[in-house]
Amino acid sequence: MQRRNLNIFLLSIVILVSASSSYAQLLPISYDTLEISNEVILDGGVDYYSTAIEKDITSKFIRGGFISEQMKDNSLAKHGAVNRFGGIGVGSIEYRNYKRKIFKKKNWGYLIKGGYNAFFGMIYSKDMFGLAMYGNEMYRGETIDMSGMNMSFMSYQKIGFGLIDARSKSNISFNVYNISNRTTAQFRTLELTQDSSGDNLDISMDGSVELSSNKKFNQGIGFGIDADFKFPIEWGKEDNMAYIQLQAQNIGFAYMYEKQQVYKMDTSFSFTGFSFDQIIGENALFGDSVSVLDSLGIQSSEKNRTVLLPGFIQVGKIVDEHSTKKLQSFFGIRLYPTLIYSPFLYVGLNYKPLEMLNIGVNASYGGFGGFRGGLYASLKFSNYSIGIATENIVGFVSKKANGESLFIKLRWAI
Amino acid sequence: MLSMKRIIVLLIVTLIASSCKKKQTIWESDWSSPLISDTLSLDKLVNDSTFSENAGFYELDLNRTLFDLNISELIVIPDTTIKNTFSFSATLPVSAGTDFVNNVEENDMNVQDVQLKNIILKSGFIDIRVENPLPTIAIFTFTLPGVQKNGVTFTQVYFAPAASGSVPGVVTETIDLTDSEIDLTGISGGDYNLLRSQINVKSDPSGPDITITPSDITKIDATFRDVKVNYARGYFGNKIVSDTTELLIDALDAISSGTADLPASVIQFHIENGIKVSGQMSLTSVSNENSSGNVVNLSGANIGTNFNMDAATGSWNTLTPSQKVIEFNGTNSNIETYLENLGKKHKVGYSMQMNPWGNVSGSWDEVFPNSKLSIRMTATMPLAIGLENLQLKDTFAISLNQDSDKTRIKSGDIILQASNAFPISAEIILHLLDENGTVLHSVIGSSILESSLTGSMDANTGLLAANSELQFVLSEDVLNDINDVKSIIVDTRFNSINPVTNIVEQQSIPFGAFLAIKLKTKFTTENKF
Repeated sequence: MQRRNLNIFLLSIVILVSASSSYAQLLPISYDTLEISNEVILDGGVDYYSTAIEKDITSKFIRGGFISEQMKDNSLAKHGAVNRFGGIGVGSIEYRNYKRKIFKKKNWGYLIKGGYNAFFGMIYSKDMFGLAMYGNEMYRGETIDMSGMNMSFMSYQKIGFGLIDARSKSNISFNVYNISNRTTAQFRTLELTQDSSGDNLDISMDGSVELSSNKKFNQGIGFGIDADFKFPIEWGKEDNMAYIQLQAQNIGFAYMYEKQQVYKMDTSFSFTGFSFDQIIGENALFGDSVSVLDSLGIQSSEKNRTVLLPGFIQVGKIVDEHSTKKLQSFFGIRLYPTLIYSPFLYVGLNYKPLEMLNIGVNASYGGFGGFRGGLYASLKFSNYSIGIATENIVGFVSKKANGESLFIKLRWAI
Repeated sequence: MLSMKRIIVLLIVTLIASSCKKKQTIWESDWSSPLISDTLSLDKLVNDSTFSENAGFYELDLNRTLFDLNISELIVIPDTTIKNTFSFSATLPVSAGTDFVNNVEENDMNVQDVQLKNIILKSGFIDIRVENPLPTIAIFTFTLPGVQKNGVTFTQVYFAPAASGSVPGVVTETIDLTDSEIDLTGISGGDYNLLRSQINVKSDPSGPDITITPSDITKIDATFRDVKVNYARGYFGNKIVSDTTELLIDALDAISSGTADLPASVIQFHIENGIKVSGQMSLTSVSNENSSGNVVNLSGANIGTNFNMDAATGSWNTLTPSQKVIEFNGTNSNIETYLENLGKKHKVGYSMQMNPWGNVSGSWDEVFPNSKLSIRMTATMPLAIGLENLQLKDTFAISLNQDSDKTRIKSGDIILQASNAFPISAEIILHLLDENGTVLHSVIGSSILESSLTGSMDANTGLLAANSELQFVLSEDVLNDINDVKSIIVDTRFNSINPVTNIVEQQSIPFGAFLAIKLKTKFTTENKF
């Protein structure tokens, strides 16, 4: 019975890891300079958050469920002029072999990794949230201003091979990516004005939308690198040492060999309803010979695209596993090459009450949201270690939170 | 080894877990949009009649041509080949440059029912084929003495090559006969449909002396092809043309029940004769059938009576057709009953005969390029209509599909806002039918489309106009069945009630009457993600 429960527990953890699939962003890096032979790391998590949308809505988009009017009202009240919403998700497995030396004169082993990544983010106006959640009926006599909207989504899988320094654990890997889905939308101008009687719609658009033109799983191929370098620095008094980590993930390009449907629009028009001639007869708008998109000034084409992978660079001080101090600080900054994701700053304290236990708290600001608090714990026993963390502690306890975050990392060192 | 197994198991479990599907995210939102904005007028509704104004009200001017016979249908000359041969009765030595002249021959043009004396061609061709059986070059001169173009008699000269053994030398040519004038009176000058021709054959003056035999037959075949006549004179026979023609008025096919009260009207049949031939004409029957299958015959003394048609007078540019008008009015016929049957299909039977008294013109019947024989029906009536529950049902096929697992319209309203300047009210019901024609739902307009008589003066048009707003509620029950709906019947009942007396009366349609429509939607979507 106990064994069965243990299996369920392990299975639950694995499901959490894989289903949420995100990067162990702030988990205390178990920076261990002890040399070992092999290491398997299974990590993952999900982190979605927003400047304004509360968790009881965003969680419905993750897990499903009904979004009530009260939920919509609560989130709408939190919206400002410019808002961000986004999330990242990763599930990965990595095998490291430190024993087999790739080069005779270097203490470099190798690593093999594979995983699934997803990145979604958008900047949007309060009106856009209102239109999506409530419809246009409540905006009669007003202008729905969605200008400046910028949205990006990409999901992809990767496999990589790389080299790892057996002592410092610094590593670099070269990855091949399969892009399975990609959507972007950018609107410099997107306005919808309605008169109070609902007789007239004025639409003004200047922007573009790109999305996959078919449902194939393989839409494009990409090449990129992951890098993780750790540098010792002097820290504080008494010649204390600390480690700075420079981490880069998924830095590279992808070529979308499947044609992407591209809609470009720089148009404005007024719609009061169709005339009978427009809906009946040979020259009807919906007839075979007439393109509705053309008549609205929207250009549609199919193109191959070369695009940046949604990679990031992170620099920060990390926790030293072999430090004699029970309390250590960590901090850093993370950058994605997109305006949707603002520079993400974090700072935290790690407390090590026992040799086998680390717990910590952190605070962060930026990314897809504002200020957040985080909490983590990791446990090491024998050759195994497990860590669990959240970058949004409020999200665990309150429906009013602006997102949810959970990361789990399993490590097995041999 | 054990560790690798664990890794593989973990990986497999991970992949299985990744394939788990989340529940649907569901929320509701409210949308509204204009659908149709247009103004209907009689000009847009009717495209085969004209409306005129009479004292500020519409008058209907119906004008349909039932029959139209022009010169190309009256005088038809089929493709005809005339064969001219020249032969010798004995074997003779012939020296170079000897002439052989044939007699003028007559050729029947194979024209049926008509005795033509003279024609002028609008277009046509003659294909000529010359065969020379002589062992020397032969010079053929082919003459059509009755054919002239620009005052010059038709004469063609052909140098036919010598025969090679039994194979004759051949020359072919096609000549355009446009604007040619042809005399078909034959050699005597008093016949008809006969074309004269003559061949002259001369042996090559520079060639050898030859011997001809009775088997050496020289030939010229002349084929008249694609001949169209611009003018004809003769006796055109006493041809009888009779037929029944149908007129369909599709708009009346939608009438399901109810009655219409129309004002006293007049229907006229105009017979125009642009041919210089006298004749007789009669309307054998006039009837209509409405959408319920009820047939009404137009009756009166003018049905079945022969009317004489005078011949046209003048010629060419001075040609003046004769006119004959046969009128049906409230006095001489049951025209009001006939019209109030609101027939969708009208049948008009007629019979016409040319020269019923024989060749009284002495073969001087004439037809000119602008000659035609036509029957035209006209009707003029004030557009004053009394309607009592006149029910029009128009069916439209539709195919809508909502997936209950995807974003769908949960409920909604269709809102019709109208400004009506017609003195007619309307009640509108939408019947939603499945593929078997069974009514699944009937959506009744929340109010009636008001007659202009209940409205006020429209400042822009100076007409009475009444504003109405009709709401058609599409409930959740209706939208749940929307996938089964294959057609919609728009069921409309019209009434022309005087709001003062509350009695159905004939109401004149004011000139410029309009129906301005705004159709809008307001609906709630159940969004699923």
